[in-house]
Amino acid sequence: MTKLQIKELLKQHHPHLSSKLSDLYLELSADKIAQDSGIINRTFLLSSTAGKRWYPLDPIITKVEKVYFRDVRIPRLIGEPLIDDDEIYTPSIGGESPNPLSTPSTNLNNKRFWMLSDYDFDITDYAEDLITSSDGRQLRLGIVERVVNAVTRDGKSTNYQSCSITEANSIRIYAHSTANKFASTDDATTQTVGPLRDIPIQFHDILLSGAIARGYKDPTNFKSDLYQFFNNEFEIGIKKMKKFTRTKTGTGFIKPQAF
Amino acid sequence: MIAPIDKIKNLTTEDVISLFGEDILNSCFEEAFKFTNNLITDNSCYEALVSSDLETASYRTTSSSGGGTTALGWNDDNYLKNRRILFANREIKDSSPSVYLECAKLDSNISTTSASISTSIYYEYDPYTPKYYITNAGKLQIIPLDTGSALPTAEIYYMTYPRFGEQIIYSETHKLGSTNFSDIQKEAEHTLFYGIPIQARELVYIQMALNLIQYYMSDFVHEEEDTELSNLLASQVVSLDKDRKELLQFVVTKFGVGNMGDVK
Repeated sequence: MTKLQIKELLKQHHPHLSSKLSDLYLELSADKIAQDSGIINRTFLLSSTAGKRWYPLDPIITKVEKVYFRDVRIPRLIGEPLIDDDEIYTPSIGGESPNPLSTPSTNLNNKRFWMLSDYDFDITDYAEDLITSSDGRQLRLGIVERVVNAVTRDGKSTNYQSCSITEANSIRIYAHSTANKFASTDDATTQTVGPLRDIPIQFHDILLSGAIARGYKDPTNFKSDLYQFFNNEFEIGIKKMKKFTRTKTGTGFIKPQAF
Repeated sequence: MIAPIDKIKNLTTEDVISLFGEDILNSCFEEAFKFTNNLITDNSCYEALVSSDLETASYRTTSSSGGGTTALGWNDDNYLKNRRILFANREIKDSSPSVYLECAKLDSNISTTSASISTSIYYEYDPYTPKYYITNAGKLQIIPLDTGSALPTAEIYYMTYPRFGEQIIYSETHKLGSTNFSDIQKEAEHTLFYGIPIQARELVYIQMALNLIQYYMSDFVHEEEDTELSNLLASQVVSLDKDRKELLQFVVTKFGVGNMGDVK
């Protein structure tokens, strides 16, 4: 379905929606599909910097599946290192020194791990009362290397140091993400713009059902019976998409049985 | 086929011109026309116009500015005076061949406030869902604008309501400026009814006759206090009103709200 077609179909139910609102309803539906079915996957590239542990993730990432460092898959670290290498604070601003760890030297172990921090990444404004949100909320991806007794501080030691390699585009993240957004420059006669590009063509009808259902929640056009109908269509559709996602690339899971 | 004035004479009285004069006759027709026309969907009006002998310029505007001599552009002052907008179609820029998309009408206040704020839910920016609205200067505006805030290419289908005795300026649909209702000959009857389907003409006549009789009754009740005559007229009103109701039902069912093309 092209953008024009899907918006015309939406218009049949909600003729008074603005351009923005009709796009928004489709985008919201796409994001719910993304969250519930995990159908929207993409990869992201980051550059590593020696001595830098935490890297900001694109805000559209909802779940990190796996991480490759220099094309080598690295495991996820279970737990977290005892000593952090905190880059939330920036010493150059305001003169407050967080006492950062020294940059580790390159080692031949190459035992790297990734970890995820749910705490907001914001290195531009270190002071708690100056936090801005120009980049939105960003999760942090941590890259550490395992070296025996790599770091010692305050009588404590840890085997994990920050990444020791500076290299462009060395980290590739495989992740679930939210959907693309529509733009005013979209060619509406195509089916590859905004969220329509992310969601397979055979599921565009489900996306439409979600947008129609959302429209019936508006106080100006509230119709509970139609909302229920289309929302039900939407939820059933998401289940189908979830099943499709699992069988498309996944191998499933064999549950052990005792006899 | 009979002349319009003869039709009204048949429905009221032979002395209708001398009783009321040209101005009241003209006015009653104008009001009856507007009443009937507003029962009819834009689509039915459009079909009535394009199937008539009118030249296209009498119901379509393609220029945003007319230059102020014989025609008005859709973005000019006074364009909306006495005019019913049927369709506003915006061209998709650089499309070849030209492709137009129908604009939906936008709330006038929202259009001048939230519609231009990019983070508002009322923001209008998609050329594939164009809108039109009436500006606070009384102009017609179509959004989104082209790059560089230029007015987009558009075509407006419209009709003006008939006006007798007024100077004809700027692309009127009916050319009745130098004539009266009673002057229209039977061959020219159709020139009164541009924008109204043939099947709905009778309703205009009945409505006009009722308007005239109400003038007449009002005069006798309030000025002459002739209750006997007004009672006689009342029975005629009942008869005409019965016809009117039947025609009204027919016109609304056939050409009125609910037919295809109402939702934009």
